[in-house]
This record gives sequence, C-alpha cells and structure tokens, in this order.
Amino acid sequence: MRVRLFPSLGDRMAGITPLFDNLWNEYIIWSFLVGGFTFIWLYHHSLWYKSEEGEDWDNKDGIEVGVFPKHYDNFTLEIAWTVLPFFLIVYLALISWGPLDAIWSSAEADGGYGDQCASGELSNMTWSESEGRYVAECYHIIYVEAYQWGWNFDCLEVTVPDLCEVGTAVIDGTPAASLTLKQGEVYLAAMGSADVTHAPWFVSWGVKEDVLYSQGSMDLNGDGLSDNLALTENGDYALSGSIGELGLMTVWLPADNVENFLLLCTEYCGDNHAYMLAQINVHA
Amino acid sequence: MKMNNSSRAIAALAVMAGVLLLAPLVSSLPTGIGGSSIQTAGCNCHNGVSDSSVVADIQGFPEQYNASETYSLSVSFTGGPAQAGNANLGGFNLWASDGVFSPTDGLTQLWGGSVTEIAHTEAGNDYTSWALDWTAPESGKDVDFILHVNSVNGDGVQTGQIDQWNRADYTLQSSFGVIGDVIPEAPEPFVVLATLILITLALVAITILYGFYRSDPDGFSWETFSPWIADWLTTTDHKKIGTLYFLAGLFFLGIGGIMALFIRVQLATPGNDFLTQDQYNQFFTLHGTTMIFLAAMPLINGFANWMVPLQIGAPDLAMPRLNAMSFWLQPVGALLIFTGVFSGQGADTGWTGYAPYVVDMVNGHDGNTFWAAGQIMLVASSTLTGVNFLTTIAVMRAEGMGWMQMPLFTWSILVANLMLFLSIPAFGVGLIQVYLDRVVGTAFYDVGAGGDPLLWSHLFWYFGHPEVYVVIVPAFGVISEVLATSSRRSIFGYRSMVFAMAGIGVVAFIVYGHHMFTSGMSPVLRFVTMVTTMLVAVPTGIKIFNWLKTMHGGSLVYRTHTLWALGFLVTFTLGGISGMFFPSIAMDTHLHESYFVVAHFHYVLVGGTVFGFFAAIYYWYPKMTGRMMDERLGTLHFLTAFISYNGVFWPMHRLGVWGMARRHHTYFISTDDFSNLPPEAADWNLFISVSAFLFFLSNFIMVANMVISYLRGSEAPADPWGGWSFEWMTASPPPTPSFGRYEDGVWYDLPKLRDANEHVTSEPGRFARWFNRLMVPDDGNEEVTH
Amino acid sequence: MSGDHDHHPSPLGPHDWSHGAPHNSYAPIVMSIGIGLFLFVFAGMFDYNLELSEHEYTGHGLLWLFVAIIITGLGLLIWWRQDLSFDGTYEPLATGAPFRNIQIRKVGMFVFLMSEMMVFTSLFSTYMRYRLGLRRCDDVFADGLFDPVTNPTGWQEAVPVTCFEPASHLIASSWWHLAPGAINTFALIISSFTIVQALRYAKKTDIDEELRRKRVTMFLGTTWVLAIIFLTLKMVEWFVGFYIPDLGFIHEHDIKSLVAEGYTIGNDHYQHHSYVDEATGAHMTANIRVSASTFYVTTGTHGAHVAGGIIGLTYMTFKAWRGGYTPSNAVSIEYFGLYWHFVDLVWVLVFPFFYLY
Repeated sequence: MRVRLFPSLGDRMAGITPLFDNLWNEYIIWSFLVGGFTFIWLYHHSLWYKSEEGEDWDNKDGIEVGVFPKHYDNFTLEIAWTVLPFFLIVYLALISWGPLDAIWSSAEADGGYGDQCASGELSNMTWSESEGRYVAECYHIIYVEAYQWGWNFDCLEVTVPDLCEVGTAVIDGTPAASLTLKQGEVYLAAMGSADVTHAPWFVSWGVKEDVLYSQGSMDLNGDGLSDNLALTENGDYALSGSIGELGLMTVWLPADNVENFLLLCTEYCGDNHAYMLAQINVHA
Repeated sequence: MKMNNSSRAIAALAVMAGVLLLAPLVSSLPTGIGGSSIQTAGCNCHNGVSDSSVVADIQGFPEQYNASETYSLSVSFTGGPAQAGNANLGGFNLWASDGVFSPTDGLTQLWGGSVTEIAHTEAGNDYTSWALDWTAPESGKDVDFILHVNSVNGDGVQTGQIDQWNRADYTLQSSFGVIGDVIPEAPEPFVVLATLILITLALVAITILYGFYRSDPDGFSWETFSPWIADWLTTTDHKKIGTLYFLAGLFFLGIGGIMALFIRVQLATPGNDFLTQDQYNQFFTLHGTTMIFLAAMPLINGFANWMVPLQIGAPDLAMPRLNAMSFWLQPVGALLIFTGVFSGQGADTGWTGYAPYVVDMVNGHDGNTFWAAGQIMLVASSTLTGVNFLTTIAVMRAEGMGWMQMPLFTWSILVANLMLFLSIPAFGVGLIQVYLDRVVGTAFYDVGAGGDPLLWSHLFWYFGHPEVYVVIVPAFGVISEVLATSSRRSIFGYRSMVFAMAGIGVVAFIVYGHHMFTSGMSPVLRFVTMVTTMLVAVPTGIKIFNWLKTMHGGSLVYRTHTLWALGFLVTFTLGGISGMFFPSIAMDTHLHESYFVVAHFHYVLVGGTVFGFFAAIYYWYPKMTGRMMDERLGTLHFLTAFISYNGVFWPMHRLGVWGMARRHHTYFISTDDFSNLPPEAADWNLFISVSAFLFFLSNFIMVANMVISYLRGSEAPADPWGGWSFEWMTASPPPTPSFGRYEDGVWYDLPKLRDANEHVTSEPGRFARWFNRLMVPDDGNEEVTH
Repeated sequence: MSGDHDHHPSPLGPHDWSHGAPHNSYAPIVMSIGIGLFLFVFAGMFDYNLELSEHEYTGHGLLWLFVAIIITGLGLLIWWRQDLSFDGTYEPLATGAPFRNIQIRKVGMFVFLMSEMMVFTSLFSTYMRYRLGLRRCDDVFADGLFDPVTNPTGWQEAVPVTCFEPASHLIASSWWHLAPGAINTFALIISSFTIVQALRYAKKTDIDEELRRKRVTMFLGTTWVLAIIFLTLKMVEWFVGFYIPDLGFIHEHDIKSLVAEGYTIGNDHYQHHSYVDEATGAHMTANIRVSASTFYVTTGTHGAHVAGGIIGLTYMTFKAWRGGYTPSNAVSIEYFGLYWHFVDLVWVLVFPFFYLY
C-alpha cells in the first residue's frame, strides 16, 4: 500500500488555485504556530507537574469539600490571551477579505473581471500579485443547469468552439455531460435547478455554489427547452431574460490550468447524488 | 453454589445464542466490486426514466448451459420513444455474474473493463437489437444476467426527461445441477442493521436483568421485579432519570457507531457496492441524527440530571415530573425516527434535512415524515429540559452559592440549556412545517408554489449552530472539573471561564450564516458572518489557555479521566484550528461539503464532546454507582481509542482538500480521462475504515469496565478524587433525597457553601438586586418555607 | 392530610404530597406513547396523489388516532389525579438572586414562555419572509391583462400566478367578515380579566370557604366559556360561515367561510371576485398555497395553544368546583394565568398582522 505520509517540501499542500493556495499556506503556518505553542505547553505541564499517588502536595488553593476554593487568576495573562488571539483573528479576517469578490459577485457588480466579452474576444486572464487574485479583461457567460441527477451545459452566446464546447463523456461507466473550455479565459456560470437544490463543485478550481430551483429551469412553454433559454436568430441559445430576472445563481470560473477534472454535486439532492457528475476539460 | 453460578451462566449464554440464531443469517460480501452503478441504480442515460412500455428481451439462452460452451445471444427491445428515422434509437447494458462476453460486430463492446459486462458502441446507438456471444463458465453455478435497455428520444435535444429504459433479469442454470458453492446472496443492509440493534437491545436487557439479580440474588422473582421495573418506568428522581438518559445515550452511541461502520465498509474501496446509493443515503442521515439527538444530547442530559442538583445542593430539579416527561419523549421519538428506517424508505436527506428535497413527495422517501415527527418530539423534550434546568439553577442554589460560586459544570449546563431552549423552537417550527408539507400539503417549501428553500436553511441553522455549541459547552464544563481536580488546583480564571462560556452562548446565535456561505448571501452578510465566526475562537482559546494554566503549579495525578481530559485538549484544539479554515470564504468554497468538513466536525464532536464525556464517565462513575472503575482497563481504553480515533479522522483532512465530497456513497480516483482523487486516496480510505473498526471495538473496553466494576469494583468513598463541589459531600451513591429531609412543607439540613476566599462574594450584585426589586415577592400570602 | 402516612405512594395518584415521598408517575411514559402514536397515525391519514400532485385525506387509521388521543388523555388524567389531592403544602420559594422569594414554578412558567415566544417568532418570521418576498396578488392583478404587444408582463387567465394573497383581503373586506375575529379578541381579553378575578378570589383569606369555592368556580368557568367561544367562532370563520337575515336595520349578509371562498392550503387556482378584468371578463387565478399555509398554520398554532388552555381550564374548573383551591395553593391559578396572558398577547399580535394587514 503506497502511502505518502509527508509531502515533499516543494510540494504545495493544496494545489487548487493560487488564491486558495496562498491563503491555505498562511493558515497552515499559523495553525502550526498556535497548535505547536498549545501542545508544547500541554506536554510540558502534563509531565512537569506530575505527582504520585500518596505524595504530599501543596493545597495552595484551599481545596476542601463543600468549600469554594481560592480564586486562581492572573489578570495580565488573561488579557494577553484574549487580545493576542484577537489580533491574529483580525489579521486572518483581513487577508481573507480581499479575495472575497474574486469568488463571487454577480455580473452586475464589478468582479474584477471587466465586462462581458464581445463575440470572439479573449479574457486574457492574468494573476495579479498586488491584488492576490486573477484579473481579466472580460468574461464569458455560460449556462449550467442542474437536475436530478445530471448537469446540462449551454455555451449561450460563446459560439467560438475553441472557447466553449458542450459534449458527453463516460465517467466510471456513467454517461455524463462534458464542458470544454479554454485556458486563460474567465467564465461566469449562470445556473438554475429544475427541481431541488444542487451545488456544482468545480473541484480543481475550488469553486462551488448552491443552485436553487428557478422557475425558468422547467419547460413550461413547451418548446422543448428550459424556459431560461431562448432560440436566437443565429440558431444558438441565449438567456431569455437577465440573470436577475430569471432568478439564476452565478459563480466565477477562472480556467487557469490545462486539465480535465470532475464536476461533483455537493448539495445532497436524492438517490443518485453521488453520480451526478460532469467532466470539465480545459485545453490550451 | 459454584454449580448454580455456572448453570446460570450457561442459561444466559443459551439465551444469547438463541437470540443470535433467531437473527437472520448474514451472508458475506456481495458479487464483487464493480465500477458501474447501472445494476444497482438503473439506467440514467440522458436522465431517462424507467417505463413499463419498454420491453427488454434476450434470445438465444439454452434451457441449461454446458460448461465452456459459447452461445449466440440476441438482445433487443420494443417500446419507448425510439422512432425509426431518428438520429439514435437505443442502447443496452448486459451484465452477467459469470462467463465471458465477446462482441461479434462493431455494434457492441465490452464495458467497464471486464468481460462480464457488454454494451453498445456509438455505432450501435442506431439499433434496437444487437447480437453477441457469451461463453459459459466451468463452475456450473447459476448465472444471473441483468439487462438494461434504453429507448432513446433521438431528436438531439438535451433537456428534461426524454429517454425511457427498463430492466430485465434472467437466471441461467447449468446442466450439471448445483455443483460447488452457491453464489452468496447480497446482504440486505437493513436486515443486518436490525439484527445488530436487536442483539444490542437483548444484551442491554440481559445486563439490566443481571444487575437486578445481583442486587438481591435471593429475591429474583416477579414480585420483586415488578415494582423495581415500575419504579424505573415512573421515576421522577433526577438520579434515576439521569441513569435512564445515560443508558439510552450509550445505547444509541453504539447504534450510531454501527451505522458509521456500514458507511466505512462502503467507502473502504472506490466503486464499492456494499450499500446501494439509496441505502447509503439513509445510513449517513441516520448516523448524524442518531449521534447528535439520540446519543450526544442524552449523554449530556444524563450527567446534567445527575450532577447539577448535587452540585448546587438541591434535593432535585425544579420540576421532577416534567423532567421524566422530557426523558420519555426521547425513546418514543427515536422509535418514530427508526420506523422510517425499517420501512426501507428511511429519511435520506442528511441530518440537515434541506428543503426542498425534504418535502419532495415524488423522489423523496416516506421516512422523511417520520424523521420530522420524531424530531418534533425531541424538540419538545429539549425545550422542557431547558426550562427545567434554567429554573433549577436560577432558583434552587444552596445558601452561600451565588452565581459566581457555582461549579463550572453547572455553569456549562446553564449556558448550554439557555442556548438550547431559545434556538430549538425555530427548528421545531421548521419541522412542523416539513411535517405538514408532507402530510397535509401546506406549501411552506413547495418551490412551485413560491416556497423558499432558504427559509428552511435559516430556521435550521439558527438552531443548528447553537446546537453544536450546546453539545460542546457541557464537555467544556466537564474538562474544567476534571483538570482542576486532577491538578489539585482551582481552575485558573474562574470568572473569565464563565464570561467565555457566556460569550460563546451569545455569539453562537449570530454566526449560523457560516453554514450558508455558498447559498448566495449578500457580500455584507458574508463578511459579517466571517468575522463573527472567527471571533468565536477568542473565548474558546481563552478557555483552552486557562485549562493549560490550571495545571501550572499543580500536583497532577494521572487517572483515566485525566488522560481523557488531556486527550480532549489535543483533539479539540486540532478541531478548533481546522474550524478556522472555514470562515475564510475563499477557502470555504473549496472545503464546504468535502471531507475536510467531516474531519473538522468529528474532531470537535467526537474529540470534543465524546471524549469529554468519556472523562466524565470515569470521573463520576464512582459517585453514581459507588464502585471504582479499573484504572488499567481505563488506560488501555484510552490508548486504543485515542490512537485509532486519530487514524480515522486525521486523514480526512487531506481527502477533503484533494476533492472527496461528503454524502457521496463512492468516490472517484483519477483516470487518464479526468483527474479527481490521487490513487493513494483509496489507500487512505481503507486505512480509515480499518481504524474505524478498531475505534468502535476499543470502546467496548469501557463498557466492559463499567459492567465489571459495577459488579466487582472496589467500594468508592464519598470523595475519591479530592473534588470540592457538593456532589463529593454525599455518599457514593447518594441517597434519595440527595440532601436534607423534607417535613411538612419545609426542607431541612440543605448544604451551605463556604468560601475559602477572604471577600465572600455570594451576595447578589447590583444587577441582581435591581432585578429582584422589579418582582413582587410571593412570601406574603404563602406559608413561609425557610 | 399531613397526618396520613401513605407507605406506598401510587404512581397513578392520588398522591400524598406532604412527606417528600418520591413522586413516581406513569403520566410521562403514557403521554409520550400517546403523542408518538398520534404523530405516527396522523401521517398515514393522508395520501399523496402523484398524478394530481396533491394531498388527499383518506381517513385511514382514524380509529388509531382516537386511540392515541385516548392514551394521551389517560396520561393527562394520571397527572391531574396526582395533582387533585394537592393541598398546597409544597410550594417552595427561590433561594438565590435574582429571583429570591419568587415561587420556583412561577420562574419556570416565565422561562417556558420565553421559549414559546421563540416559537411564535419563527412563525412570524416565516410569514413576513413570504409576505414581503412574494408580490401581492392585487399588485399582480393591477399589472393588467396580458397582451403580447402592449402588456407582455401582464397576467393570463389560464396561467395561475404565484403571489401572496393575505387573508385580510377576505376577512377585512367588511365588518361582518371581521366580526368573529373582533368578538374573539374581546373574548380573550375579557378571559384574561376573569382569570385574574379567579386568582383574586382564591387568594382571599377573609371570605367564607363556600363563597370562595363558588366565585373561583364561576370565574374559571367563565374563562373556559370564553375560550370555547373563541375556538367556536374560529371554526365558524374558517369552515362554516354564517348567515344574517334581513332585519330591516341590518341587511341580509351571507358570510362565507374562508374555506368556502377557496382560501385553502391546496388551492393553486384561487379566484377572488375582485380579480376580474372589467373589459374582458377574464378572471385571474392565483396560486395562494403559501399565503394560506402561513395563515392557517400560524393562527392554527395559536388556536392549538388556546385549546391546550381549555384542557387545563377544564381540569381547573373541576378542581375549583371540588373546593380544591385555597389561599395556600391559589398560586397555581397564577401559573395558568401567566400562560393565558401570553396566549392573549400573541392573539393581540396575530389579529392585526393576519386579519387586518
């Protein structure tokens, strides 16, 4: 049984996205410091202050049955370990705050990814060291639909096949949908559910969002499509209203590496929840 | 005498053997490990539905097969939406339990990397019948075939439910008759679970009966048994009710553990089919609900019932009969929840029961209704408990015991119950809404009628987050007691411990949003929740540092409860640190609903609550039973349980980061086509499963210790550990009433707390005096008590 | 009573309270079984029709429902029987701050009411979330009839609109419709007064025992009657409706019940008479299931609390009639009175929020 107990020093523990990894590494360092401090203290005291059964001991706090013992406190120390952790937490909150908008934001507010791309325009996504997140010149909107138990994708107005393509794949013997995207592009997924709450987890990008039922994810007007989609003149599908109107959820998908990975469902949705899969392919 | 003892032992063994024989035979592992879900879950190509209009058929089977002979089979179907002229017509998947398939043309291919499964190719998509060969095995066993056919709606549109599929089963016999082994039947997990529960119940009943026998060997008859059992069924004495809660909690801890073992067997290898998806979903739901509501809360209540009146010097709780009512609502509620399980349609929503799936009447299970109903009873039970304890602690403290002279365990129960009974009504209302939605058809969570699933999320988590603090805060109280007593010092920073607990109690209500970070919260709320969640670490950290400082300058005596308290400090600190990763939302989007969450909450719930209560068991067992527990067995229990426990849950952190999702009945190892989990993830899962069995078994050391000590342990003095609080003043076990005596409406001889501090601070403070003046005292018209 | 030594206190009651004997009682286990059986059987009395996507009442297991109610009732009777002999020598006072010298059970009742407040807060939260989150049906109606060119966002006759239809649209539409609710409000307020009067008389030490018995019974009985009137009028308003004939000074009114008007939890094709487009006669249909659910469940929960109070009052009136209330145990009326004032207070909030607004 091959078990890797210790990752090599150069190996990033997480390897998700630079955003996640930077935060992760910082938190791991602080976890080691705080944990180490606590455990060293614990081990020291549990060994140093041992006493044997029957030995004489100093009843410095006046312990006696039926008597409330003497107070044992030290105001300075108690303030110290209230204030210092508080500062650490404020620091951790600050470093976590910055990348918030990079994760979600609706297309209406500025997510740092510019405006929606014109047809054929490229995002040119780059990593901004100063902001600690990816930035891009523009983004593409694609459609993701969840149902019991599978995913449907639609490239909407991203008609260039190089930028977005929908297909099928077989994962572990199960047929599933597949989405092919281009590296270096930023996509905004507009998502709806046809029935219960689901949540796509784009594992390699560390991104997930709950997808709630939206009325348009059903096909009430009987045209064979979800009501969220409407046929345009060019023969493609587009959203039949604005994202807000349709009640869709959104999440940013920055395609940073060339890879093929799985989309998992991470909100329990019924019997086939574990097999509600899709494949995401990112090509160069 | 010796003959009598051994014949009784034989009789007991015979009874147990009889029980085991009555239980259905549990067979071994099913038909191997396959990669495909189709055999168990049905065809889900293009989101099809099964339909009886599709008829599957195989031609070419002989009446009985001959070994190693090859037969030409023809698979076909009729019915469904397939129409000539469409792009695609249909597909099939044929699986055999034995033998070898071989395709005869380009329309079929072997499937799933094995020779026992064959399906269509892309070219074969355009047909409704296919030809293939099958070579019989040599074994002579019966061969099972499962055929799935899919009738495709070939118009090229990919939305909604459009395909229709069906399944046909065949069994082919060999011409030799039955030779060699019979293929074992797949075990029915619910049958196994029911068997284990019945066995456990039988063992508990036998143990109780044996305990009764030993208390009076000569009086072992119905005349003495009947009032004894009636006393237990009708008691309102806090000590007996505490014991009832405790036994119920331990029983369900075992049942919950059994369910966890089922889960771990299923996850030991990827693509396992020990449990079907459907069964797995019910098992993890039951595991969570059982452990939190039927194991953790009753264990806490057991100790609270026992120790709080003793610690505050009160003769009983404020409302004893209501206390009994609180208890009896629990087993009946448990029965309701489990009814759903044994109908085979148990609740499968996870213990969080998210809408709208929880009110789904089409795909959802009927057991969801009983899950809701049982929990409504548990909500009532918890509310009454909260009222009782709050009242008791507020009004029945001994003379000399002001608020700031209470033992910390009592403080922890007070804070926990305050949180509990203010938050649980929201859960109760949500449950009633779910129950009514499912039974009479109200539309609280019906999305088609405008119902909002997020309403459930809010109601649930408004309760759910304080609930997890409700289960951990009493463990804090226990650890304070145990560490202080073991170190032979008073707890460091008593006042800040109280304020930290109170702070946790208040902040618990405003952080519940952190369970909903991915539910589309507004940016402002996300940030506020992030900060408040992180801030909860401050009072918790204060407590941990205070505990460590308590040991400073002390004379630490190592008993089993000391070991568990130190173990708690390790695991709870680790759980707390891993918890800090979640409020950082950029990391939460990756870690949410992954095994990292599972690792975190098991570290704080098992490593925190359960370990805290193991410490409590070793600490208070002498007081409760009058016997000392065996220290060597206790140390053995600690070592085996602590090490195996870490083996179970530590690797889950890594699995979560790698991308293993929770509530999935299987996981996916990276292949050439896609990446998900690295190959070592499977190894770690197996390691976790084996450790889980070790952890489960190690806890029987403690159960055995408890039983043996009860029968043969040395007698316990009133104060074996040198504690200061009132419970150590009473005999072991305490008499009833625990303190004082009651005559003509007046209690006499209740204890009085003295104080070793110079400035006695038990007089009410300014706030208390002002509050008191707001009320009209009742001593005007009533008979004065004392 | 205090001279009587009962060596085997019966867990079925009556009970000798004066010796600190263990207060064993069968009531808790019996009541728990009854409640569990009730919830179990009730769940089976309705079926879900998959084709119509709606629930239907089948009445399966009605017999068992009665069995469950009887078992619960038996448990309650055991509880009462133990309480009946209670002559007030065991009513301890709190020892510690801040409740010093307040009765323990009074503190308990206040704490319980705090949790009840959380129940109604959750129900009100549900109501407000839907009330403010969904568009009102009359706002949707005001959008006008659908026209593909001039009014693409309008409503269509055949397509039910999901909107919020507050019950006040029906109930507050006329004084007669409002009458049952208004009378109920007065009934509850007066009943809060009568319960205090009962307490007052029970506590009076300077009157004749027989007079005290009569007065306390009268006031408790009046409270009971007022509570019955409350529930009866609520049932009339929900299910029965009433008819006022033409009396000259009063015109004829046929006030239909809410259910008869179609305001039900299953109604996804609700048509109010005011939602008719004048020009074309098209009648807007609305899916009012959410509105009806919040209305009936919230007011129903309040009604259930009134019903619980009636059960308590039944016992208390009986005990008063038996002369069971003396100044030494009169405070138990106060405990009930606290609960009753709370129920009244909740009604004072429910009535404007659900019936008027």
